[in-house]
Amino acid sequence: MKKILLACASGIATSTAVNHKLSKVLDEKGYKGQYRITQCKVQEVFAQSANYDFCVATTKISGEVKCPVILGIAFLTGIGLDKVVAQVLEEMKK
Amino acid sequence: MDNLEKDMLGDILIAPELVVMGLEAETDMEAIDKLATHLYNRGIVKETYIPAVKQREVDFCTGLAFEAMGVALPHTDSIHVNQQAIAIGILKKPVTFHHMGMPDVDVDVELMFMLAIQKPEAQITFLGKMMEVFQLDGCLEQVKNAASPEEAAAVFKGFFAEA
Repeated sequence: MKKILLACASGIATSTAVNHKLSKVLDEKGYKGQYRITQCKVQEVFAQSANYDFCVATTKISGEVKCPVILGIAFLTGIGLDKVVAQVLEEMKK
Repeated sequence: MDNLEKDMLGDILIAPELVVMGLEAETDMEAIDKLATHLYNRGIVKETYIPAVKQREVDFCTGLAFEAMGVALPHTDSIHVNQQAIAIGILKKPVTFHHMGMPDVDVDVELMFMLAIQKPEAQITFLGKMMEVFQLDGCLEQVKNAASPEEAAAVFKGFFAEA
């Protein structure tokens, strides 16, 4: 079970949109039931990150994060999505 | 009642009264102020929404470069919202916003979708779908080039049926 942290400014609006798209992509790739997504505010990432396998964020995260962070803007715009999906799948395989 | 239902997408209001065409602004803050004030004047949001949505844009910018054009999605906390709605601002000329997640990148924004959301956890499908709608061929162009606020609202809602 992969634990994925989704972060945006409020932990509600854009991370919700990414959640929808990311779940769809992961299910299509055969990972249905093998991951758990949690949404959070960007300020919570530092405290939470140690408990997750990786984080997908729609906002810039600087500072000490204890899991890999993937910038997930492509899940919103579709531009460069293949590249970001490849990064996500790489983390899923670990 | 028929008319109200026609203007709803789920429980989110998308109505011609909330479409501002030919919105003139020099800066992102001016554009946000004008569209937020429009929502406030119609009772959709509280007065506190206006400074809150501007501050949120400073802290976390909402410009997004879609293939068709640049879009901005200003929004803020639900405590400032009276009624769930989306205001559409069609800018007379592009306004520079900063890109979400990449504040050093500028986006020439032609369309603003200002979100007034109260129950985000109930909107997961809606918000996800909205991003897909923005990527549909012709959607953003047709909203931007609409001849009337009625057409802009109808076109936007129509694409949701397709997505």
